[in-house]
Amino acid sequence: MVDALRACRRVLRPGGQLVDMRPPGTNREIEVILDEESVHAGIVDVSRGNPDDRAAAAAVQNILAEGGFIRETVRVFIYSYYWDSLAAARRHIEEIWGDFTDVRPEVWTRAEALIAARPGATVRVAVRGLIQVGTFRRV
Amino acid sequence: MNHEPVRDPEGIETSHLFELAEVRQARVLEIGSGDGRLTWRYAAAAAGVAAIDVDRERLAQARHSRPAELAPVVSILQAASEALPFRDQSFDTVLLAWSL
Repeated sequence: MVDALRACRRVLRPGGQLVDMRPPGTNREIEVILDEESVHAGIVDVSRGNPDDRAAAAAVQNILAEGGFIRETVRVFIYSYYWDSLAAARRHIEEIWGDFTDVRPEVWTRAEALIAARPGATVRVAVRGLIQVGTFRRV
Repeated sequence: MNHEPVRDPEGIETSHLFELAEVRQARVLEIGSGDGRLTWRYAAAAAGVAAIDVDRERLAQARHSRPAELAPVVSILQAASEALPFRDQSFDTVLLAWSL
């Protein structure tokens, strides 16, 4: 990843901007939305950590230490994913995020109960997490 | 059944990107552009965009979904971030879109 950042520096003009946008590795919230009313069901636990996220953070620190970039801004914002069923959300979370996340079984049980308690309601499932944007100036 | 989520329909990501990233009239390299989901949101403001990814299938999706009006602005190509096929100092902004 440091090689990638060095390559970015090479193709940037002096004074150019590098923008690094990625999840910072914080837990995500699962919400069940029933007829537009949102209810918290539990968390997607990322405490195991994504090795790629850790490597990315280390690479940024390395390139800053080399003096190739100066950090200018770090900001986080909430990013949301929506599915039109609990089954679709669960499958995506388990298949795509399963290598670095855990969801306790009782979260799914609670989500199912919330949906069962509102028969006929329009169901959506949201996962909300943080995204971090860092901006860096090419030296 | 389609398990792909709808991502950020509120446009929060785009608003932060426009606020922080220097894309207006800029030569932009987007690394990890995938299917172009983010690219289409800012490309009209840029002078030019090179959108690269290593995933052939997602690049094909990007070529298929690229809005016609952005064809002169956005080049889509397969390349890895460690071996960028571009001249030195040829971009004003490099955007790592969930790809570092």
